Order: sequence, then C-alpha cells, then structure tokens
Amino acid sequence: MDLISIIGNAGTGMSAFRAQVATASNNIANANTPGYARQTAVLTETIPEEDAGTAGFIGRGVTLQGVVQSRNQFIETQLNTAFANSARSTAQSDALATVTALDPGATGGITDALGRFYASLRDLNQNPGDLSLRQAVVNSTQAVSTAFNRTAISLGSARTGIDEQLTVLVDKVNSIAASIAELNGKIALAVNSGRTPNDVLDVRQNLIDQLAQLIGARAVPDTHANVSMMLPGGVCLVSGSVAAKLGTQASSANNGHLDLVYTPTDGSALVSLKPGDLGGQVGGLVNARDAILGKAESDLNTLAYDFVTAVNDQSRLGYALDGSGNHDLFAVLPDATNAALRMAVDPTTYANPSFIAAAADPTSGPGDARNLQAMIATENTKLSGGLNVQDAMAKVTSDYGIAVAWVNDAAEFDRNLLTDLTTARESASGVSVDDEMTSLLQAQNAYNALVKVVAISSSMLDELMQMF
Amino acid sequence: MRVTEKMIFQSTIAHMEAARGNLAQAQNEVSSGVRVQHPADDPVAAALSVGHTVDRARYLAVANAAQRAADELGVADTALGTIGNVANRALSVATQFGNDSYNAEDRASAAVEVDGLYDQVIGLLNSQYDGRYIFAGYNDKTAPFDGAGDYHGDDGVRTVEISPGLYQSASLNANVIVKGSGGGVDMLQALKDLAAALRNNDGEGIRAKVGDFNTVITQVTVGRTQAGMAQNAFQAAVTTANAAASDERVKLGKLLDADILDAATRLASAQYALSATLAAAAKTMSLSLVDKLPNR
Repeated sequence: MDLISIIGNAGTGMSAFRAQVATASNNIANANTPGYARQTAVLTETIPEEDAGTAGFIGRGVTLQGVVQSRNQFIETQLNTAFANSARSTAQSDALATVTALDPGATGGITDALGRFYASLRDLNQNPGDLSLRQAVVNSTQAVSTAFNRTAISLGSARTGIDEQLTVLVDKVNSIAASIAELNGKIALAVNSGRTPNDVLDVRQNLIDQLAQLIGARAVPDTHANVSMMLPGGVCLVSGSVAAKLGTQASSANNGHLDLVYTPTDGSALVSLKPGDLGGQVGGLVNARDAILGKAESDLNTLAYDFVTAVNDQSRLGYALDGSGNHDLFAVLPDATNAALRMAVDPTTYANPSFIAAAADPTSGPGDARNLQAMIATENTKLSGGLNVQDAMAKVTSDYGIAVAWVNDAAEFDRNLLTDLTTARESASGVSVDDEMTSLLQAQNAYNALVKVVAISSSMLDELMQMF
Repeated sequence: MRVTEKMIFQSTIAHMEAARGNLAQAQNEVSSGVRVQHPADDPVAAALSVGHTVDRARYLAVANAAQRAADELGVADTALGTIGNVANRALSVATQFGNDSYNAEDRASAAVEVDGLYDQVIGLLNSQYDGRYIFAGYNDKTAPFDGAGDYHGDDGVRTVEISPGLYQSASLNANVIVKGSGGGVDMLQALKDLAAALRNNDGEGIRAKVGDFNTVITQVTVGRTQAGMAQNAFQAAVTTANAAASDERVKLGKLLDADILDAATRLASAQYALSATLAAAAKTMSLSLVDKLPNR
C-alpha cells in the first residue's frame, strides 16, 4: 500500500468519525424531543483491495455505512394499544371525578330529601287537619322533586360537558389523521428513492401515538412504508395518503347528545360510529357519557317515575279535607322519560295543601289520617326493580360508584402499564446523554489518532521526497 | 437495561405525582373528616349510607310523632283527672243534699254550684292540643261538645306509629268515657238531672244520682288508665326510636367518616414518602458524566 492511500484512508475515517460526532450531537440535542428515537452512525470497515501476497490483505480503513434509528417494533406495537387504553380509562376517570350529583351525605341530595319527605308525612299524621303541617308536606314534596331535578340536571350537564370535549377532540383527530396521511406520502416517496427519512419517521410516530391516545386508532404498517390507522371497530381512518373525516351529529334517541359520524375515504355516505368503534380519549368519554352517566340518569328516571306513581296511586284512593277524591301529590308523569327532571308537586295540591288526600273516607272529619298512613307505607312498596325506594336509590348509588371505581382502577392499571412500556421504549430508543458523551469522546479520540496517522504518513512522505 | 436521563425524569415525575396524590388524599380526609366523598370512594358504603340516612330520618320522625302523641295523652289525662274531681264533687253534693234536712233554698244554691261543674266539664271536654280538639275523634277541628252537652265528634280513633309501620291508638273517646255511649252513664246528663232535682227540691231525685256518679268515677278512672298505658307505650317508643336513630348515625359515621387516627398516620407516612422521593430525585439527577469530564 502506498503512503498517499494511507492518508486517503485516514481522511475517510476522519469523515466517518465526524458523522459519529454529528449523530451524537443530534441525539443530545433531541434528548427531550417527544417521539425522537436515538440514531446511531453505523461505521463499517472498508473492504480491503490490496493483496499483500502470502501475507494476506491489508485493510483500507473505515466508512460511514448509514445512520439508523433504534426502534423496537415489538414495544411500539404494544405501546400503541397501551396509549389508547390509558387515554380511554384516564379520560373516563377524569370526566367522572367532577360529578358530585350522587355523593352520599350531601345535604339536599335525593337520599336526604326522601328521608325528609316521609318524615313530613309522619308529622302530618299527628294532626292531619293542620294546614301548616299540610304546607310542610307540600314543601318536602317540592324538596324531594327539586333533589331529583338537581341530580338529573347535574348528570345531564356532565354529559353535555363531555359533548363539548368530543367536538374539540374530533377536530384534533381530523387534523392529526390528515397530517399522518400527508407524511405517509412523503415517507413513501423518500423510501422508494432508497433513503430512510429518520426525522420524518419520528414526527409520524409521534402523531401515531397521539392518534392512539385520542381515539384508540391502531397503526397498521404496509410494505410501502405507509402506516394505515384503524379504529378499534375496524373502521379505517387513514389509508395510505388518504384520511377520512370524523364529525359529530346530535342524536335524538340520546337526549340530543352527540354521535360520532365518519365520512368514508371513498366518499360514500356518512356512517354513525358505535361506542365499540371508538377507543382512547374519545371512546372513554363516550363510555363515561352513555354507559356510566347515561345509565345513572336512566336509573334515576325509572326510580323517579316509580316513586311518583306509587305515591300518586295511593293518594288517589284518599280524600282531601273537603271530601273530594282522586288527588295527586306529585304532578303525573306519563312515562319514565326524563322523569327525574320533570318531577314536581301536583299544581292543584301545590296551590292548596288541603287537597292532600289524608282521609280514607270522604265523610270523616279532618283528623282521619288512614290514607296518609297508607301513603307513608309506600316507602316499603316494591318498585319496578323489585326494590323499595330507598333500596332502589342505594342501588343507583352503588351501581354508579362501582362503575366509577372500576374506571379509576382501570385508569391506574393502564397508567402503570403505559409507564412500564414507555420506560421500555425509552430504554430502547431514548437518548442517554452519558452514552452520547462516551460516543463523542470515542469519536474524538479516534479522530485525533487519525490526524496523527496523516501527520506520520505525511512526514514519511517528506522523508522519501528528500531522498531526491 | 439502558437507563436514559429521560427515564429518570419520567420516573421521578411519576413517583412525585403518586406521593403527592396520597398526601392530598390523606390531607383531605384529615381536614374534612369524611372518608367517602363520592360513591366511587367506597361504593358499598355509599349504597349502605342511603338506607341508614333514610332510616335515621324515619326513626327521628317516629320519635317526634310518638313524643307529641305522649304529650297529647298527658293533656287528655290531666283533663280526665279534673273531670274525675268534678264527678267526686258532684257525688258529694248529691250525697250531702240528698239528706232531707236541707231546705229548698239550700238545694237551689247547690244547684248553682252544679251548673258551674257542668260548664267546667264541657270546657274540659273541649280541650285542645296543637290546635286539635283531643276528644273529638276525627272531627277534631270543631268543638266536640256544645252547651247542651251534645257530642259533635265521631268514633274515629287516631293512631300514631310506635315503630315504623306499627300504629297504636293515640286518642281517648270522651263519648264513651264521659257520655257513657255504649252502656255507660252520661255524666253531662247526670249533672243536668242533679241540678234540676236540686232546683225542684226533689230529695228522691237527688239521691238517685249518687249511683250514677259512682259509675262515672269508675268510667273516668278506666279512661285515665287507658291514657296512662298509651302514654307509657309512646314514651317507650320515643326512647327506642331515638336510640335507633342515634344507632343509625353511628353506622353512618362508621361508613362515611374518616378514621382520623388512621388518616393522620397515612398523612405522616405520605409526607415522609414525598420527602424521600424528592431527596432521591435530587441525588439521581445530579449524576451525569458531563459533570465528571475534565475540561479540555
């Protein structure tokens, strides 16, 4: 091998080590960039060309083979699901944390008001002809109605609040899906021309993570370097470089709450997405809105309807102070639809408490409280669910409590799993500044040594030249 | 395992969040005294608390009603006691002025006293408690006895709960006790008869009333015994219902209230954990190769 070639080889090596320094410095700079995967400059020895006869081959130094990303596809696939699950349960847990409508021990809550309602009937039993006690019954009937109204409003507004969040999230989903579709196009172009656009891949990966968190979309890579995004129900949100659009639409079957609709990528008609089609934050919020808050709301409506009907049925059998019959204590509810919201005192009785039907006989005096006692006994009447009013209320509370507690537990579990997986991803793909410093020093030492090689070779060349 | 700086930061954040979360929870329990704020905190306790809250209100209402019934019976008993005294006085008058040694004038002046006794009894029979005529049956908003001694009430017997769903009669029927309805002696008629016999100077008629007043005294005594027994039953009901209500309060407390000792212990341990987490984080974060390399 000639001295000129040695200097040339050292130069190639120096540029390889410069690339290593540049890669390490890029890594250090991006140590905290979300979605960034550590890059490594891969150095490889140059294939020896010179045959040194029987002594074998003499190597020709080192070259930069390429810069690669460190990503563990196994972890990435699991992370995709973990992001979606954690976002789903956390969104539910957060949405439900602020709902205080069914808190036990709340003064003015349904439980409290039910207790006071029956207590006021018992007070009236003491002196059924007394108008001030009758007024007290009307007041407690009003109070129990208001307690149901307030709880229904509180549950309803929590659901409406979720609708507002959904509108914002859907916009975000659309914009991210569009970006992924666009990046798919760019990446496919670069890959097909033989290069790997590491930094664009990082950006896309970051968007994929976000979309998984938002709506539980799963990433499905294809052979052309595209990543398609599928919703949990199999609906395709991003296909190659085309993104579908999601929208919202008020559902009359669900008290005007918003349904998610999807405009398919092929331009066909709008499709309404079912709760099972959705995951992530959006899926969690829809579940909290319909399966948890919606169920509590509908249970409460059934309870309100049954309770009002049981009390009214008994009330109609009795007689008012003037001997007239067929009076209601609560305003009649036609069915359970929004019953808790519509519960109120019967307007006639509200205006004139003497119409409270305490007597069992139209001709008996004002002291007759036999029908009132039968109305007190409605506290033990089995309602449609086979439970009396207080047990039914307890069931509404515990069903709701168990659902929320389960969501909270799931949120913690999912968060822990996500933490484990992000740690694993960080371990595989994250930047360790210490590692990069070591790599920098290693490259620096090698570079310095190669400079010496050039100097020595050059001085050898000088010596040679001076012979002439 | 490769450990990067970001992992250290992330795990520090996660641990600090967990420690701060525990700290906030314990602090909240200690300061509010409430363990179960939302149904999700303890669904079973939250559900049971519904029953105990309603039961407690029910027992308090039963205690309240029974107390009022007992008070009312006390008023009735006092009225009957006075009516018994009146009957005794009428008996003395009948016995004394039945003796024919008294002349028409003496008997006429005694008749005035008997008129007074009659008015007193009417007044007592129209006794009220809480705006109700207590001897009127269901017809308790009108005075049951008029000046002529006619009864305008009915035979309705008021009942009041002594325990939830269990009713006991809480009124006395003056129509039976004083008017002798159903086979007894009508005290008001007997007083009217005695006054008339005195005015007529009718010794035979006066002496004939002695037996009537003896019967009336027995009727009133029986009535007072009934009142006393019912009053005792209601007093016992008050005690029982109040005890049950406070029992419900204790159960509610056990379900929903924070165990302050336990919460305070957890508060202390959460503080300790947070401070340890912070100290550990500070130590780990200060370790970096960058700091150890000599400047060249």
